[in-house]
Amino acid sequence: MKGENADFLTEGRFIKSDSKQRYTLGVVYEPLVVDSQDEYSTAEEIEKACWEFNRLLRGSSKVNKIALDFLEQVLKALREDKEITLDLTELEDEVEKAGGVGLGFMHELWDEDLGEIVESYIAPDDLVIVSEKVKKGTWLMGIVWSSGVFEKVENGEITGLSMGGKATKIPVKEVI
Amino acid sequence: MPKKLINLSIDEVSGVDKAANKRRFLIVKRAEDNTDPLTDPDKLGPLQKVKKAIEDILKGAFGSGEAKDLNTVLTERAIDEGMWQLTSSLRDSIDSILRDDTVTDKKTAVATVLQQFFVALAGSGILKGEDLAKAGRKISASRMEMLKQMLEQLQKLISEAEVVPDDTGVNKNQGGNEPVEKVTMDMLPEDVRKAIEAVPQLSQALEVQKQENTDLKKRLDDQKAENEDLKKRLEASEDAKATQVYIAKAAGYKNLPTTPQEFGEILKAVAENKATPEQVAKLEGIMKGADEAIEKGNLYGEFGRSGDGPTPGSAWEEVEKKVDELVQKGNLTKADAYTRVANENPELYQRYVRETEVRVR
Repeated sequence: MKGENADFLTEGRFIKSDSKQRYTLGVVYEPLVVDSQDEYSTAEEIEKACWEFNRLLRGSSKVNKIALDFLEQVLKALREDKEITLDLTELEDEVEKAGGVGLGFMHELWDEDLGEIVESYIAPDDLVIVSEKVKKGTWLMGIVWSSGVFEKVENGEITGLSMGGKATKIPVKEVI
Repeated sequence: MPKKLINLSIDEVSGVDKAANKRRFLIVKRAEDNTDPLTDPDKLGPLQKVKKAIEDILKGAFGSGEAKDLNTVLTERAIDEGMWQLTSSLRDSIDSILRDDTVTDKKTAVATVLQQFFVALAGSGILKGEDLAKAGRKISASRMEMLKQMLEQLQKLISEAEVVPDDTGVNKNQGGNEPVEKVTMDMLPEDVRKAIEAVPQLSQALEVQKQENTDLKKRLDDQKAENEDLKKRLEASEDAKATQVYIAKAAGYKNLPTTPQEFGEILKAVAENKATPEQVAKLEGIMKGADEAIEKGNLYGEFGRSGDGPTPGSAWEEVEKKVDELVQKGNLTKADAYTRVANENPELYQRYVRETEVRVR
């Protein structure tokens, strides 16, 4: 059976929220659970996706670091009255990789003012978080939201998390 | 047929309105609510009801909705922030009181804090119409109902704390040390007070409910008094029955210096371990009288113990006299003399037998 590459969106759920910090802890994806779009994935695939996503997030920081390095080189050249040649290849690559990565709102708006992803990890074992069972291999994400978005969380307009990206979809007869 | 996702490459995670796992919003639980869940309104205590009412008012009064200009948003945020500071401070303060074992009079402490909150709320201007109008909002009738319920809870708690004026007319708490400000409806902003009073149906329903509660309480009190009366009557009836049983027993003692009524009551009191000092004294008197009667009746006298000799004029005296005469003649022993007297005087012997026989039953 041949798989297909496709953009997809899939949704998880919040399981913990602290209004003082505007913090939520939510499930991004659970292994071997068929979602409302009749799709699922395995713990191994979810773990790879989580780690790759975390690397991309770190990449965003890398862009800043490269930019700061360039600025330092420019200032030094100005002070020493020297010419300077900058290689922007690495920066362009990192910007491309980091572009559009991070936190979104209904998959339509990506804005740094939405909030900040402060945690992104795989449950190392079966857990119980605030009376909710969380299966081993589940991708969990902690977010500190802006006050505007958190108001929507408290009002019930935002109820969970959804991951967006690319994947190969393989029709199967049973979930394994 | 389900589709398995592999080679996932995720570049964004969004907050969304519906969870793919088909479960409605998962547990959104604030850290400070862990020991005080506000989930089931029917199970909330007075404090929880107050807290929930405050939160509901906030949620309803300052929720999001239509498009707003910058000034509206700024005003809303200022109101939101002010209310947040007030309610979170109240919550933290109440929690600290409830958790502090050194605070023995928690009721007064909590009531005082609630009073302080209410005074601060009334004085903050947050609920004043001008601010709400700037924010483009009005407090709805349902919010007014919640506010009224909150006030009732507050007043109930405050009255439980027994805030009373001292000799100087200053209100004091239960400890009597700290002056506290009496909280009344007058302290509410005028527009809020008017809004509350403008819900006649609610007020009427509340009055009816209050009257029904009063009637129900009166009926319960009456029923309780009636039950107490029945209980007393039943106990008196059983006591009278038991007394009659003991009087019947006492009637069996025919020779005691008392009456069956009196002795029966004493027996019952002794059996129930309820004898009064007077009854004990009476019992001693009865026992003493019985002892004297026994002594006089010589029921247990011993033969030969007194050494009084034959009763004058009795057959035994005559027998003794004849025996002595025969012995004195010197030709018979005393034993032979008894035999001869008995053989020669059969009527005297029969009389002796009759006089010395003992009745048996």
